[in-house]
Amino acid sequence: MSGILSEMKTPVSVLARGDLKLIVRDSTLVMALFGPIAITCLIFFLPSIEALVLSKISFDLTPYRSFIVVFLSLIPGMLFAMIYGFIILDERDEDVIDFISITPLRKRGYLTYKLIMPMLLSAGFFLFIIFASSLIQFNPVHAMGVSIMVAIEAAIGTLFLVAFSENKVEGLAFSKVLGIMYLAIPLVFFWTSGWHWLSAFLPPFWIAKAFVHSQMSSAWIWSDLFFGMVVHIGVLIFFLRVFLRKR
Amino acid sequence: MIRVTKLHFAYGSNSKDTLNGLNFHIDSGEVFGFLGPSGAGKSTTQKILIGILNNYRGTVFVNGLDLQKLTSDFYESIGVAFETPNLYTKFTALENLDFFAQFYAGETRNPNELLEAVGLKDAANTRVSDFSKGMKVRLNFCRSLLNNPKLIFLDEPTAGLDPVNLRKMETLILAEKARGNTICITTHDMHVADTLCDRVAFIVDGEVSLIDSPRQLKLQHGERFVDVEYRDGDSLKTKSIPMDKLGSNDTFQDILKNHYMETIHSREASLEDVFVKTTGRSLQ
Amino acid sequence: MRLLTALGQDIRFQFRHGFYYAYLVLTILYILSLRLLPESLVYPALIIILFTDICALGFFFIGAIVLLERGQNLTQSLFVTPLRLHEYLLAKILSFLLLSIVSAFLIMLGGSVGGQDLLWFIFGAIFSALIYTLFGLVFAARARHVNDYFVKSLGIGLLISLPILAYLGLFDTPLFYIFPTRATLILLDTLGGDYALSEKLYSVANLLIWFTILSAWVYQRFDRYVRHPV
Repeated sequence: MSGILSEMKTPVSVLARGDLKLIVRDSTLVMALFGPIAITCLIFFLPSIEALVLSKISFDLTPYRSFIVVFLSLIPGMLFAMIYGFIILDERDEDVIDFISITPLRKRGYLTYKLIMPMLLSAGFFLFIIFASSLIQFNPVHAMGVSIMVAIEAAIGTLFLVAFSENKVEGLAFSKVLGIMYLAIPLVFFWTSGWHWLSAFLPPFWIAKAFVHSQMSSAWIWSDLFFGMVVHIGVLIFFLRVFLRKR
Repeated sequence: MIRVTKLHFAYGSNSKDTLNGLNFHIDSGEVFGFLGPSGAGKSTTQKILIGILNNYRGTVFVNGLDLQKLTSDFYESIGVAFETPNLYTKFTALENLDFFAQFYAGETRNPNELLEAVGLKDAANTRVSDFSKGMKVRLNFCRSLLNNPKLIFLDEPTAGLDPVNLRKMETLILAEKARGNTICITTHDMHVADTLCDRVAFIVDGEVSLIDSPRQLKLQHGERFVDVEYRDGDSLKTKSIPMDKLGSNDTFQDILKNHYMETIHSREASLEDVFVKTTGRSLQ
Repeated sequence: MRLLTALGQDIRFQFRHGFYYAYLVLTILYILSLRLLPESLVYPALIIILFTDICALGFFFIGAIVLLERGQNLTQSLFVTPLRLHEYLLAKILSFLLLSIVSAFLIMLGGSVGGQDLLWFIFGAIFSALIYTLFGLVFAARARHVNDYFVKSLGIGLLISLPILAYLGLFDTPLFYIFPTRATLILLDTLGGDYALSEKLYSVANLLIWFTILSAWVYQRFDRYVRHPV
């Protein structure tokens, strides 16, 4: 991979090579991959976990399987959002961003790169978890649509951390709040009352909705994908503007 | 006040010593300057004197106390301003000073008066995150004075200051000296060393190469000549004349009587010249 | 006096960095969740919330705070005042303890969960919070970046949390009795479960031993890497 990158001469490739060097030298980022990978492994063991829970405490998890799979498939996205969010916050605390803003890459280029990585990674993990585990049926066309939302959601998470916090300590407090966004998923799955629509402004709400409707082969899936995309892009643009206005 | 003998220090795994057997003493009530290029060992020496680096070899006595036996009470009577200002950015200038002041058992100075003295009175209730570099440096200086220290350590106290504030800072440091306090400055700014310090030590490669008063050094390493520029008709001419018996020097008398003199300079060395001459290094 | 000053500053610091707001929101959400859960799940959910989040919050936050203080050289200026290292550390630990205890109290009040004999439970909650924060401090003394801290501490965090499997009835081994978390789970669970006095006493002894070892370790690491950084 470094071979391909070293042939490119764009500023983004320079940054990517910088990060690769960082990964090689600093084992942290490699180890940071373990979180998402651990979640992925957990998915493959889900049937055995279900069996264990059933035999030990006679609790049947299988009715909750689709909820668990959807929930877990979004966690790598959240983790990547946090990892890249904290890289940006660290670099901001160390004034790296000020330095980059005066290179040809500019602040926008830097941000684009730092957002594309978590987007690609989280969409990749999402699709892998859904299809490689084959624990649940998911229409591939619908899944592709949802994966775009998952990608945007990772960017939203990263931006949420860096747009509102001034340093890594605040970023940590905000990362706690970021987790709340995912509360929309159990609400969609388990709260039968119409009040659950109150959480429709939270991006994961639409992922859960699309999933539920896709499972029911309901035509509402298309409206979910449409409104989900609108909400995701809307939130993304809002956070982007907050971030770019900052400093 | 401070007596250092055969001080050696090596950083962590570095087999090479950063300090190679320093010897010096600092008297009570004097302003002492450590001069040298970056990485020469100035800051390391200061960190040892304030007890941050403790695994040194040799003996260091500060205020009669062997620093190997240092306790936190040591800090009741010293003040330190580090090179990089270190303050709580989410707190205002006044909140920062109030917070640090509360750690001292003895009487502390009024933070408002300190802020006024460094020209930060109007910024007292501004958060430090909105401060410029120069403002932070000045606030950092205030913090070092909170506990009325008898011994003050200043690491590059003038870095990042504009000419007006540089002058102000020099006045403040001299005011501390006038109160009878001992001040220890590290700097690579020759002008600062020249105007403030009673004695300076040149540090290069972890060794002290010379200690004396700036005036003495400049005279010792200068030449006893004066350079005179004067008008001779339309042209500008320069003459170097020995300083001894200048009054009876014919050339000098001739210029004084028959020409329009423009400048006259004695040829004592600048502190920078002395530094380059004795250490073979430049200050950068 | 110096301790109170440092403690006051740490609390204000956390307040200004939004911790209290973040936990206010979380506490409200936890209360709402507890109220929405079926009766039979409220009590186990409470214990899990307390164990995984409320008592462990120091573990989560301490890394970034110490990193920021180290990065801005604040630790350096603190340690050239008469402030003692143990006062600095205690202030950090107590400030998180306060946040943990207040959130825990509010959640129990809001979820209307209580018990008859709270003494063991309170001891468990307090020591659980203390030990998590101490574990965080061990890693915070040397970590270079937040991600660095998370990766290093998360491995240990997950490892020491393993006894939760025993609490859920999924997997148990006598080895768990070495873990401090086994003891905290027992003491937290005294709120609703019946435990023999010997088990409670074992738990208290376990936590006191861990507390002593970790305190000494944290002190030594901070003395070496933060107070006298080379």
